[in-house]
Amino acid sequence: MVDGPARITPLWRSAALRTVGISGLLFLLSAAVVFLLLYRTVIGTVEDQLLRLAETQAHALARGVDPEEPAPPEGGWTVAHAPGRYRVVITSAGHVLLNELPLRERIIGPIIASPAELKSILVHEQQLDDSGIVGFGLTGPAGSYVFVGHKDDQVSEIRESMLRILGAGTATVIALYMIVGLFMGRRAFARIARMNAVAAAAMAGDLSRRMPVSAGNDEVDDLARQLNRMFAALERSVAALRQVSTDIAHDMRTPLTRLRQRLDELRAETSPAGRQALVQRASDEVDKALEIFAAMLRIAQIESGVARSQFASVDLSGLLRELCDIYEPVFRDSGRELRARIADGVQLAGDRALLQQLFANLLDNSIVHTPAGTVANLELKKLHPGWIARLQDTGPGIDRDSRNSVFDRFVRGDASRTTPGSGLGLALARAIAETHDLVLAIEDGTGFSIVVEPVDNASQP
Amino acid sequence: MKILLAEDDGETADYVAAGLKELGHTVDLARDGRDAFMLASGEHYDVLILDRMLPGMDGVALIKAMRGIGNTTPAIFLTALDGVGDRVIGLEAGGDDYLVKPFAFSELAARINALTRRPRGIAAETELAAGAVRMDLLARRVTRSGEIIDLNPQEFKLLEFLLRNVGRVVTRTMLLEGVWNFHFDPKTSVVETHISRLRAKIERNGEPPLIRTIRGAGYIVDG
Repeated sequence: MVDGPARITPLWRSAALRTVGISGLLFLLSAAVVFLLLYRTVIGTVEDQLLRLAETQAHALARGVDPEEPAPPEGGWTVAHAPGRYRVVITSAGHVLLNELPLRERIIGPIIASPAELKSILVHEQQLDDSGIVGFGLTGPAGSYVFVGHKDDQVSEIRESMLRILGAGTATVIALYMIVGLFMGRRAFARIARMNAVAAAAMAGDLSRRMPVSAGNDEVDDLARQLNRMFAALERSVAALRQVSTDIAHDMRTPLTRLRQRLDELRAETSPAGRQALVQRASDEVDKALEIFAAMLRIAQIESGVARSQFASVDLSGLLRELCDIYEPVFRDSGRELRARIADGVQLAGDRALLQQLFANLLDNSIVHTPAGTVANLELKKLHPGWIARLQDTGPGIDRDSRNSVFDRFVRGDASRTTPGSGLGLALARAIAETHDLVLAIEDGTGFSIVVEPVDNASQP
Repeated sequence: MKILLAEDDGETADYVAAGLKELGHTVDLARDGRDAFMLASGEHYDVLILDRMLPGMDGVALIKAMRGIGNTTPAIFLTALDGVGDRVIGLEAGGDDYLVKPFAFSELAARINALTRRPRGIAAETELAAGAVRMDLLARRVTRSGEIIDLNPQEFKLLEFLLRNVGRVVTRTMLLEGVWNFHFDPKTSVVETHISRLRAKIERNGEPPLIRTIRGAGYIVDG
């Protein structure tokens, strides 16, 4: 197990280097096979030519040495002697007239009856300076045996030069592959090392670093991009979590401090009625703290996107109509008015309960943060494509500066400091909107106007 | 009633058990999931109160195992997990109700009553009644002493829920969940508004009210 900062892998264990090495070996192997075939063919051709030359000369010699006791050619046998050529003439009586072969004992002795046999012996056993003799022997019409052979100097020369080429080629290829391999290995190695460093930093708690993505756009870049997305998502969730902790610590202090005060007062209070009242107030403070806690957790849960897995098609038109039916009497009984204009057939993928809570929160807000006599209009319009929902009221609205901060946790417009609520309503609404890819925004105009629409709408020209 | 309470937190368990005993119930206490399963499968209980997260065997696994062996005892989950998903998992596993901690004891008591007296497996009723009020579920018509009362759909749903729970306290949360399917607490007086409107339509001055408010607990329609 490797933990802590990334351990440096030795270069020779680098995957890139290994790949280059293996492909180099394969290349050498296939080059060797090709070379061997070529070598065989070239050598074979040369030997074949020598053999045919020997055959022609043997026939000519046989014609010259017949009949039975052939006389040496004019000038004697030695005249025709040429370096690298070996002649053998044996009469039918077994008398060796001429033997230019360097190792006589091989030829002398029992008469070699078959030219093929002699040839095989000569070619394969008469080794001279590492090279052999290629020759042809035949029995003439009068029974004399004639052989002409050639030293295969050419063959060994070719062999030598081809081996030299092979050696030099192999060395070059190996050197080339090593240079390329080292270069590539080092490059890949450096990339991986950079990625390792980012991962190590992430493990150590720094999620802000990103892996390098090269212009090459290869599979490693794909991986790096994917990991970068992962780090970004992680960074967001960690930041959200940190925010939640800070917010909880911050806002729980108020009800908990008050609770403590109530308990202190309770210690001093002697009348049963007074104690009863203080217990009730203490219990209210606890409820408030618990409510904040539950709302925070819920926001965190929604922001983490767990609900997405259970998304189904939701009839938004029906949902809003039902909410209007539920809220219309609440508006009326509180001295306000709710008017609705809901278009038919607006659907979206989502969680019904969460969407219900989103719009219920907006309606609740409209009641809680406006004076009596306010008229609120809830409108759902179909656009092509998309839709837009708008809740607008004739209340005092909100000043421009606090417009964006109302969506933050615990922030409430100055005017609403004294009104009830945890200050989490709009933060929750926005968390729900975001998990549904919806935009929640406050609009300009008289009163308070808030719109909900799909993110896609906003990107329309 | 005989009740099995499976709860690993000692203080909560003692508090709930004491409250239930005060109401006249017999309470068996299990501190972990395995004990709870042994008790629940060996004895007859009228209701199971199960903590969602129990050591040994969690509440969801426990209720799945119980339903697996054919036990249909009504079960209420107590949980600190408050998410739509958690609720769905609990109910799909075979739970009958779901109560998020912290809860008021009156809320638990009301839900136990609602669960245990619910006619289980009996064919759906076509008429509900309380006092002089009758509700025809097929014709979707409500009459009071024979006189037709015009209710809008929201009021009808609310009255239906109350009449289905005649003689039992229904809490604010039970109404929010059962009538409007709200799994959150609205900042405004949704429940109170609708109750008062319904009262205005079905109650008459000078006669005893059909819907009684139980302070600190909820509402009740007497049978």
